Amino acid sequence: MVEIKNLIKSYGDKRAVDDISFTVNDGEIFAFIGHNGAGKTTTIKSIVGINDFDSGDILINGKSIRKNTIDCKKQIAYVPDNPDLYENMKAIDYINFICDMYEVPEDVRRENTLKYAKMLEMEDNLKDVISSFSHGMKQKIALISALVHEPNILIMDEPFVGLDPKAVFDMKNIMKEMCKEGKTIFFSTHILDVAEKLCDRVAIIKNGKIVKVGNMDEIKGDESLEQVFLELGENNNE
Amino acid sequence: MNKFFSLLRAVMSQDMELLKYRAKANASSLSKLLIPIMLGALIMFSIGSMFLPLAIEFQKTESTYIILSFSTILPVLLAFMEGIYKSQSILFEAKDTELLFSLPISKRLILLTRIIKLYSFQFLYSLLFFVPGIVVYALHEKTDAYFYVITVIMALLLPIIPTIIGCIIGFIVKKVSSKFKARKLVEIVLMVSLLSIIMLLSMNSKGTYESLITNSSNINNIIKTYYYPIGAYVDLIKEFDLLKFLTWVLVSAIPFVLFVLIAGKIYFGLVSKSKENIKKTAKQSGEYNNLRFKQNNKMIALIKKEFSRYFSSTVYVINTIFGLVLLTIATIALSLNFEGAINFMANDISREEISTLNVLAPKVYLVIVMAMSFMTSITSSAISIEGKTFNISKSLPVATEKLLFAKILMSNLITIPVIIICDIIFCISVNVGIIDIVAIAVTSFVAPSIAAIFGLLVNLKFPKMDASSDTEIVKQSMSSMISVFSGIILAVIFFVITFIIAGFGDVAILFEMALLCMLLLILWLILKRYGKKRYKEIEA
Repeated sequence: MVEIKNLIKSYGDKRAVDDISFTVNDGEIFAFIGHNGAGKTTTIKSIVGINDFDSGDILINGKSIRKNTIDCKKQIAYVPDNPDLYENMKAIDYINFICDMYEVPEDVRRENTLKYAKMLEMEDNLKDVISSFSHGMKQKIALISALVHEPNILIMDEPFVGLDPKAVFDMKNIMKEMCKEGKTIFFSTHILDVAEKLCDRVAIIKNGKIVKVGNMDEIKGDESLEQVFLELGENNNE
Repeated sequence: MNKFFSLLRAVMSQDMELLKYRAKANASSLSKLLIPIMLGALIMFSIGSMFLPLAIEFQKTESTYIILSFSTILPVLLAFMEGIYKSQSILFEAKDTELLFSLPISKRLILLTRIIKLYSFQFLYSLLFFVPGIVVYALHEKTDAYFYVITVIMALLLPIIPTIIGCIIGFIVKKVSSKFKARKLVEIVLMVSLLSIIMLLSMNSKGTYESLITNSSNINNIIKTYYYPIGAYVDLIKEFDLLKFLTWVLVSAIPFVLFVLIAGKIYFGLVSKSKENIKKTAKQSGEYNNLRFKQNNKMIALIKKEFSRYFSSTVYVINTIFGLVLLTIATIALSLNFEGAINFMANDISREEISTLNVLAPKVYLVIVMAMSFMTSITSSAISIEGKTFNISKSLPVATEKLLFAKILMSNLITIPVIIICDIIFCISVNVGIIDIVAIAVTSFVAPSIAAIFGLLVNLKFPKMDASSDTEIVKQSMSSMISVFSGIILAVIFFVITFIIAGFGDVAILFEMALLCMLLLILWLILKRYGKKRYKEIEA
């Protein structure tokens, strides 16, 4: 479970995230949507411990990311919006590096790496240097390295960008499977159709503030998520 | 023409804070400028201080103009060496390559703007060495407006030829290395070999320098033989000659134009080829069964990651290995022929003084180890070089101390083994007492550790996470500049301490070791207290 309590994060005079609170429960796929620059990535980076924040707290399964940083990070896997990986490394070396950091035993890392690499059609590229990969291939390696240590909480920033249709399909299945196992999935996206079909709950962020949060059905009612999102944008602009 | 200036501005704005579109002359940007200005002033002052006594001597024989030659030779050599490996990053490895090649502009124009960028850096660096000489000359000789006009033109022409030659060598290195699978390794080996050859040639050209000093009447002819623009400049200062002036300008301008015209034709192909993926071997199904899944502990994995990043960047390796190459050459020189080495370093030293210095050989070596260690600042770029991947490190379930310690260990694992090998060579070749052996051993571990922690602290204070190339981080960042110059200052301080306490007997050297250890401890405590906090504050 991820609990965000009164989170505030500023860059100079500008409040990127302005007193937001919401909870992502176990066994839930939670979508985080908003326009460009709304504060999605800042929130995500605060959750995974990359960015410090001004006030508020983030609890990972009841523990504060500020006070129990390492314990919290051990439970999380993070997929960044841009797959800025260690370009000079071979894909397998990168995955091994991440496994070393999460202390994944050899048999588990072998099984999971091969499982996800086959699923994402990357098994023949594991020995190649990351710098030789396309954006989508790098994204796949970022996903494999996030899944390989069997995290309880999966946090992803725009995970579908650059992925081919089959990879998107497989990724959605992986997320559903993890959800069934009681794991927590939180991701930001601009692909509202995917969010609508895949997610149990959603939060919409605008100018650093949460403008709507709740169950997907409650939020969209009889409309599509896209319509709700656009209407919210218009209302706020008025 | 508008295209050219827009492109030039875009290319330059990546590196020069002042030229950025959104830059304002606010207090923070002014304070950012203050440190480089102070560093620049410090370097100029130090070089001026070296030229001053020479000028007094030359003035007695009415040959003060030799100062002009000296102050031009130095930046020419520097621009040549810098040009070789700076061209790698600025011409071939800039991050905006794909964007620029996709735009409807000629490839030659892209090359031209990048060479102008390279030239601009070389020009600024050369001023650091050129201006002090000019000031010292102006203090001792009558100068007029004509002198300053010719000097300004010389300052502009000075870096052109060495930069172009450096670029040609850079082109060749790129061309050769692009044929290999391990192209980065080949590049590094080629560059280190070139660096060593240039250093050895510089040492062997001692005879030439002696001739320059002793035979000042022929100085212009000797310089002309080696580098026409300097000789012509000195001649033009004495007397204006239109033909000589035109030749002088054209000799520098023509290679530049020719280089842009000729290299522009192959530039696109070469850059594309160097960016191409290494030819992949045909994959056989089931190849993944051979994959290795070896578990390492966190620290070993982190150090391996640091090594992998370090050796992936030619400019990073070359820029930081310089001190170690110099140390190796100096050790061999000291070990094989101490008298000769001292003679090389100081011309007018007597035989009695040399025998005194012979006793001081271990101290001389100690000072060299300290100086080279303090100037080898690998960690001053270790944070910035992570760039956007810094977020990966920050998201890992690893204590910040471990992440920082891995960087220090990586630096020490590169420097200390080289120093230890040099220690062994030196101690075998020269008669060294037990206290000196202890002092050398302590220094060999402590001095590189001081440099590593200090460099890391400076990089934590001045990170540059949005650099467009590794060169920008390794050569042009505030962090690397402060680390190297602070290293020089620290080396000078310990040089003075070493020779002051040498008079109090061998045991006194242990006091210096205690001082070194104390400095290391203080830096370590600062890193633990400040570094951890600062690391968390940095955002990529």
